[in-house]
Amino acid sequence: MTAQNKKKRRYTWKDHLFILSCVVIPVVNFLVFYVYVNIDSFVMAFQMPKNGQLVWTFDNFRWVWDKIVNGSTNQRDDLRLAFANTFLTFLVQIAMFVVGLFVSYFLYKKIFGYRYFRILFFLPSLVSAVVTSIFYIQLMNSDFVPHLLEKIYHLDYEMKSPLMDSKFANRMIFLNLIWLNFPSNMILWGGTFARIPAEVLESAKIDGCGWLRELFQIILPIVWPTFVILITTQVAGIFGATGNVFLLTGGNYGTQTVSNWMYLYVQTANGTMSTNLYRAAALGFILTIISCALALLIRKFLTSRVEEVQY
Amino acid sequence: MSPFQELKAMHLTVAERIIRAIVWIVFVCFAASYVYLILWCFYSGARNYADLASNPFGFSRIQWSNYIEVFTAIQSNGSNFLAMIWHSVYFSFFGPLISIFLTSALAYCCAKYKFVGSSLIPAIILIVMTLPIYGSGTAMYRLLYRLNWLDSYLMIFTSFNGFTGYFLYFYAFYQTVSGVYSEAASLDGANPWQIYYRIILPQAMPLFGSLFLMAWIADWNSYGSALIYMPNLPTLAVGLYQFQTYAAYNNRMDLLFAGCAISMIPPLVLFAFCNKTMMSNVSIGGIKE
Repeated sequence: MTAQNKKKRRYTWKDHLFILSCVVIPVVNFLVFYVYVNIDSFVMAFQMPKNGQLVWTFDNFRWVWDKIVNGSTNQRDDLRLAFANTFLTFLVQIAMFVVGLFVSYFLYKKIFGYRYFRILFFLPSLVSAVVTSIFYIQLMNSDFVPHLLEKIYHLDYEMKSPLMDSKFANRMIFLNLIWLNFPSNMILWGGTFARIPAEVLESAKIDGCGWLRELFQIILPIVWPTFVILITTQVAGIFGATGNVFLLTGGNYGTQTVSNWMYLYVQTANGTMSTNLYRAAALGFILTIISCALALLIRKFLTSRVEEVQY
Repeated sequence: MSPFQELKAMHLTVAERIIRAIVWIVFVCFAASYVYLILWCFYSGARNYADLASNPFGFSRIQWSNYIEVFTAIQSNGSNFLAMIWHSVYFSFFGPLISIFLTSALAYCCAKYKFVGSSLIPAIILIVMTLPIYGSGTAMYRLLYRLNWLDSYLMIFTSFNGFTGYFLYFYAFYQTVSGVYSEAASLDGANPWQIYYRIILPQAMPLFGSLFLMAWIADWNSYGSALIYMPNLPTLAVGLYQFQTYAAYNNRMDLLFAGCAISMIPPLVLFAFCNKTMMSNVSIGGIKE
């Protein structure tokens, strides 16, 4: 609804009070826990505790830059490795985004048993990542997986668990990501596909359009606005790509990611005089600027190919 | 129409049948793995701890007493299993309930009234949704520390937020809801609160219920914020995460899995009864006309 459709009558004091009662709590909450918090996180990037006082400095950026360029002997602080892992995780996420689109398409096309699949594919969303990770760790620790990998890769040592082996830990985290994200965005895509006019697809079928052509040349252009929103969100969240690293390895065995690094730094903070908090804020500041620019670029690029997104 | 009849009515080509068969096999594998995950948790939680340690994926005699022992044996940061359930209920039920309630009211105001923020708020929410800000956990920690809200029940106030993605669903709904009844009620002397709570909100209840269930399940299962900001008020997810180390060292993985199984029951039961509501046509972004 546009502004013209909204009530134009003169508001009474009750209307004003009603608007205020609906708006005041969310707005105050937003101002405190979003606006203030984010501004403060930018401020923190330029602060550092010294002798019990906070001083203004660029040291956090220098420290972060050093860890990005030179890495670290401590794998948990090796930001160069963390960035590499984050980009790899992001690529897996994008791949699973496409897979999720295909999964939703086949469910929409009523593959045999689609009603059951829709329910069963929802199960990972109902279970805590803590529980799925405990199961996955047990699976990786069992004799079967390590022995299988020893045979496939002809390893000359006995593997305890691939999650505790630097050669395999990352791959196992990607596997976990693939397993749990197979039906990603199923409900959103399902809801969007359901709104596609049936007559469009019927006429395409009469014209001999195959399923691949139907998906890419008819359905995808129709749902392009939704695609733009989802892909923009994915790209904007590039530095948040982490999988279940925290739960599966804690960032050890060469699996550290950027967001897990920041999470660990906040988790291990003890009071507001912890240097970890301010270094994490500095990295957050850099990542925010890069991801905002990326999100704007990708959105501009994608929307330039079709008309503006309708919400 | 049965699934077989539906398939027959589609008149698929041979190539399409082959592709569908391959996709179907992949679907079955993934679906089976999800079912196995859940069944394995319930079964492992009822196994003898020695058998479980020697062969985690084997079979052994079932002992249901684990599911009772969980309530006394699982402890984390001074909280027992019942306390963890209470923390989960408190933060994951009341938090999302109030948040969805506030979001709905905010969306209604923005959709139906013209005021300073009526166009600004939806625009801000879109920006917030698409432009992520990294590192804000540091400042949130500092704020909560200064407010003395870490490990506090007052943390629930942080979720009294209407500027969420759920706003867009409500906003779209209230834009299309008919104004006939509310105008009639207004002529009869109803005030804005009566119109919203007695006429508008009941119409939005299916959407309200659907979004609340999704938010509740997400909060019930989440561990990230709770582990950082309130490790001494562990929710079930946090408590199980913290109990892992103890269970591994003391060979009581049976209790850990029993705890995991119990934590899965509320979302699974809710999903069993409300899956149609939860999976109803939720869409975002629109389609091209």
